[in-house]
Amino acid sequence: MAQALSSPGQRRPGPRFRLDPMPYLFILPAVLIYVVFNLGPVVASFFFSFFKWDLLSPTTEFTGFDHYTFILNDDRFWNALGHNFIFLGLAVVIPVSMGLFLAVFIYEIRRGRVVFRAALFLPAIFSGVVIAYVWKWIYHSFAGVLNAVLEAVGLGAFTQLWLGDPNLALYSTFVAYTWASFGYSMVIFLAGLQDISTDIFDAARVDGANFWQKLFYITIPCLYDVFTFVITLRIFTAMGVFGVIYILTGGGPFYASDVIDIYVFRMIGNFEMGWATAAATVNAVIVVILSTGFIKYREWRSWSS
Amino acid sequence: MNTSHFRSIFQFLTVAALAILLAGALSLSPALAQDSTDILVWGLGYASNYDELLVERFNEAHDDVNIVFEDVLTGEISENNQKLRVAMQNEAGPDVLGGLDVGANLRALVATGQVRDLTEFYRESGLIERIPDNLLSQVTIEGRIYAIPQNLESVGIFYNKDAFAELELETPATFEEYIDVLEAVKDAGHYGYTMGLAGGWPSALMASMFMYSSAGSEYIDVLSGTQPWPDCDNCLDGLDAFQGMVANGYANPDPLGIDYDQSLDLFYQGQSIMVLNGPWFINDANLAEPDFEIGFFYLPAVNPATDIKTLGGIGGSIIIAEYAPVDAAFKVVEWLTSEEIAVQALRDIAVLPAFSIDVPEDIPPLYYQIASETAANVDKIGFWPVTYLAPKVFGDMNQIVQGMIGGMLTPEEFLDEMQATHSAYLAES
Repeated sequence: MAQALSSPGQRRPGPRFRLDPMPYLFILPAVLIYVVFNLGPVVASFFFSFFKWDLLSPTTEFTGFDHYTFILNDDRFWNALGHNFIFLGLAVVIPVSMGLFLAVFIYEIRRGRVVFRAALFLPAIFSGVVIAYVWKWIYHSFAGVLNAVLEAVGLGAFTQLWLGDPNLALYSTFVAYTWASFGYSMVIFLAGLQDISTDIFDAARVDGANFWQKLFYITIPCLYDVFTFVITLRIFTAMGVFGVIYILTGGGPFYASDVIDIYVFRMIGNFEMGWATAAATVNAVIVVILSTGFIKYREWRSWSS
Repeated sequence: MNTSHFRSIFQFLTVAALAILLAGALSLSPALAQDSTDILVWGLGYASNYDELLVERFNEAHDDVNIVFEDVLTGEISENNQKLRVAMQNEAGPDVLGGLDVGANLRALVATGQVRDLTEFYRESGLIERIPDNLLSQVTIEGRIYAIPQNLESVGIFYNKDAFAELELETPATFEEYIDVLEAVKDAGHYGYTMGLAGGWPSALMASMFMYSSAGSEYIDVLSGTQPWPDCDNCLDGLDAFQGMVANGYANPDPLGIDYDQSLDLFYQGQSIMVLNGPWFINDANLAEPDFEIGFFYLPAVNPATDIKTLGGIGGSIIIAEYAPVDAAFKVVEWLTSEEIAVQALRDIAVLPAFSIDVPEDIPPLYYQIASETAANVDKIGFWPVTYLAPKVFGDMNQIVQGMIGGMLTPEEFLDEMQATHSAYLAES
């Protein structure tokens, strides 16, 4: 008689799910730090956007969507947001392209690769405050290096009030931002380039492909996922730009370089935590939509091709 | 385990307990012997190195009260106020604080019951007799006094005495003479009016100086919201004169692109001859060590009929936290407001107290001139705009002044823009 494999009430033998606590214990400190210092403030910020609170009063007053209504009806909010979008538009093109070209340059050269890589990455490791102060003196209209160099090389007609001209201030701050940020893009692209098989480049060389053909038909397509990451990173930093602009222009002259984080900072300085957190929440939602939308678009494009 | 083991353990525990008791007694003994009360202080209202010096002097002179100094304040007022609010709400803030800005911040601290009512202290200590009424009104809320005005500041023009002598210029008594001086300075290839507005606050300060200079106390009505900004016709003359500093080429180039510190460098380097500033400038100038002598005069009134001589007011005030040990805190404040300490601060770092003192004549001539002129004109000082305006409106004012100086707004549009900003804030808050 065939022996029954199991009888009622008896557990069936086979693979069983076993919860090993060790990995969770290892990641617990990181998760706790993330929850307390990242997630917690985000949730608190969203919560406070519905209350009138000045950091001091033990009581708060529920205001519903009033702060959002005020923010969305404030011309200065839209002015600041517009500047963030200009910054974003430039940031996904210029520092990213610079990072790519410099990464390819460093990848291609035979000698001095380490020196170039270190020199070009150097600005990225400086504090943003230091960078801003350096650029403040570079841009000084009559004691600064930039105008002095332009004068010295016979281009005096191109000297400008780099930070004092409302038409230029935002773009001048963007140059300082680019100087500080292209190094990150470059290092990430460089890491991506090293993952591309050299066989592909060798085959292209045998087929007679020139530099530009290799760049557009091999390098850029092979760095598809790296591009997604680098551009997403630019979305975060461009929409959250603060330090460089705050030190260089304070958002001026006459709001010409104002961005959302400076707008929020001005509200916090007034202890209007409700308005400040509402503006910050709107900005955060925009960043989430932009970055998620971009990532999804790239995934869809990758899948459809 | 035999009895000898128990004996050893017992001996060890006895020795350990005695050691702990001895250590505890030793650590407590100084406090018991002195019976002193600690008073936590974040700042006494001066620069932190001078605060530390004062704390040292106080602790040497007092056995019953000990100041514990925590140097947590920075040069950023808004950041300091955030720290203060959070700490005071949790009763972890300072017991005594000097240098607090009056205006919206003091009103908020009082409204939430964080600050001790000092009305009785004023009466008992006789302090009420020593502070001018207009300064007292700045720290009085609904008839009660909550802070002690600590120092008094007034804004004027610091000038390069050597350059004035070289150009054979006299200090101007009228606004017309002031324009003549500016023209002469411009002809000599220098800048007469130093302007660095990129940092923000100097914009509102300078515009306010000129509006006080033309509209006097009418400008106070505008700041306090009892008169609409566009209705201040006399303000326009001041704004025109202010805009004229740039339009007529008296100011340095790029006033919107350089900040306060960079503009002062122009003065120290001799490129610029005059700078509108407050008495805190004296310490900056002492550190910069320019190779010329510095003089001082008040900006002559744009409108000679104005009832306000200059811009200024309380540079900082002293408060006592509601949770502070009262007697010990009063002792610190009494010492801080004594004539001895006030005169010493004037002598050492050119800070004029807000309470009346006899200005000593043996201090540097520039200190003496500013202190005596400020004291003499105390009832003709128009207070800082931030005394009346919410910090947000003040912050916006800095940007709007930049718009006017940059030619993006006319003086009339400036007043309209200020009205819109001010009334939008009042309506929403």
